[in-house]
Amino acid sequence: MYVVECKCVVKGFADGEALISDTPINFLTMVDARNGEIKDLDHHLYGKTLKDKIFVFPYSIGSSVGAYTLYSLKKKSSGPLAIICSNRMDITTASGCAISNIPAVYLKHNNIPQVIRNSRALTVDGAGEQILIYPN
Amino acid sequence: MELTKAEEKILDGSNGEIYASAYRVLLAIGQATEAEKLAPIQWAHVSGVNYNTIGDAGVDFLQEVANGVRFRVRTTINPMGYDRRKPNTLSQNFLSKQMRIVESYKQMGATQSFSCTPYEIFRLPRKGTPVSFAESSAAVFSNSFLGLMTNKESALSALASAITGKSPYSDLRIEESRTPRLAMKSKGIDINNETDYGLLGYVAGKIAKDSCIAFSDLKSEMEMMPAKAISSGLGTSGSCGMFTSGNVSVSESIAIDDEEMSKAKDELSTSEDGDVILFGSPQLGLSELTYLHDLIAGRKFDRRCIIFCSRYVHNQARKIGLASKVESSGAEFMCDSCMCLSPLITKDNTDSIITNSVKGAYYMKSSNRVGVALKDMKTIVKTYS
Repeated sequence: MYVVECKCVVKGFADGEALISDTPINFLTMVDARNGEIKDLDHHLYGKTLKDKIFVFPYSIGSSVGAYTLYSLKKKSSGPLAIICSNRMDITTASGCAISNIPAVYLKHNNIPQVIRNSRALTVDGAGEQILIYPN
Repeated sequence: MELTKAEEKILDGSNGEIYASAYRVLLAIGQATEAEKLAPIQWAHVSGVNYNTIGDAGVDFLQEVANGVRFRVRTTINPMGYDRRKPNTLSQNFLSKQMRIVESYKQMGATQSFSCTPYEIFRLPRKGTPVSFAESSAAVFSNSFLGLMTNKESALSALASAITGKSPYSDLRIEESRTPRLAMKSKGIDINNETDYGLLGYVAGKIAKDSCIAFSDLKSEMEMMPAKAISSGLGTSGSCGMFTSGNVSVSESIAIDDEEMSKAKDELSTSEDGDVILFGSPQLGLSELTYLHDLIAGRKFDRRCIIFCSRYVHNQARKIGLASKVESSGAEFMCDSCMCLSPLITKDNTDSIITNSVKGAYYMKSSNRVGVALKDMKTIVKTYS
């Protein structure tokens, strides 16, 4: 098991598999608010869902309304278990997670760490500011 | 981030669940932007008004919030989904949900602005005033041209600031963070019109991770039309909330070349032609309406042309005779709304649209899912009238 230190934005624990987006996310245009599926045809995760995953991405971009997408997903029980931003956390993601009680942390890396890419599962410990990584 | 004793109490629920939630949001965005404290803001501009953007969960959420709180600072709101004073064929479901949203904001005390360009409508506070602006294009424009101080807020963070009158004192609200470290060089690429400015902003937004960047090869003075275009392009593709133009000393430079510009254009402009012309993302102001009028005077559009603008700008234009002159070209005004996620344009009634707006092109393509022909206003008028 590996441990990566992180910064906490919304406290809470979550265990699950990572879903990793290499590129920034516009929640309003790229994520289906009904079921959590990535609906952007050009995205490498097209057709995959955020539901019950630990969603890892650099940061979010574009629309300020994307915060409501996270809230809608939570209300439909289709939201991610936790969110990890690898670069820094933007305000849209932070506010969406706060209102929806989705644990949220961020790293200050330029790229998503290889240990997370190679993981079988992760535990996000928001308050403890740690990510526990179970390798494949 | 450190909260005061009084703020801690509200976070713990002393004033009820809604205020506690508002402080949870402020705490989270404060942590994310590494703020030390909260500080007062003078004006909140809230997005999340069009039913197509917030859905049923948003409708119920806003009603719940409206039943418990009133806005504490001057609050303006973004466009909604349609123009209430025009006939339409929208579904009963859309209309009733949209009206519930409008009622909730009204109940909380919002000014019924329905505009993504509040900076063109309302008296501006003096430079250096802290505000909380959601609506990405308005945040970027207000930081970059008006000297207002806001982070690139979200619909929910601006709402929390409207309710509490506070925002984290962080990032672009601190003078030192408003000096760019990274410059985007655009020397050698052709920037001739508002669409080029929009594309430049769009390309830069994809590259830049900083909250403030420099366009060091652009003139420091910019007309309203290119200023709005570059701000909205930057806001659409990235997380950057401010830029400067003109030469400054920076520690890092990235050159944008013609190839990147045409790649971005190919990505957004998916069609040669379109069924309908859309202007107004961001909503058009008087200077842009005047420019359009000068181009179209004496001519008629050969297809439907919709101009999105705020009720206020429309009324001003009506008063000075500009609106009726523009209408004699066959163009029609659509107030209180915007093309982005508009329920008026769907796959079922439209194959593709024509617009000069990079932001409009992006949302038409990715959310409304129609084809887009992206051309500047002059070319559009020349080609389709």
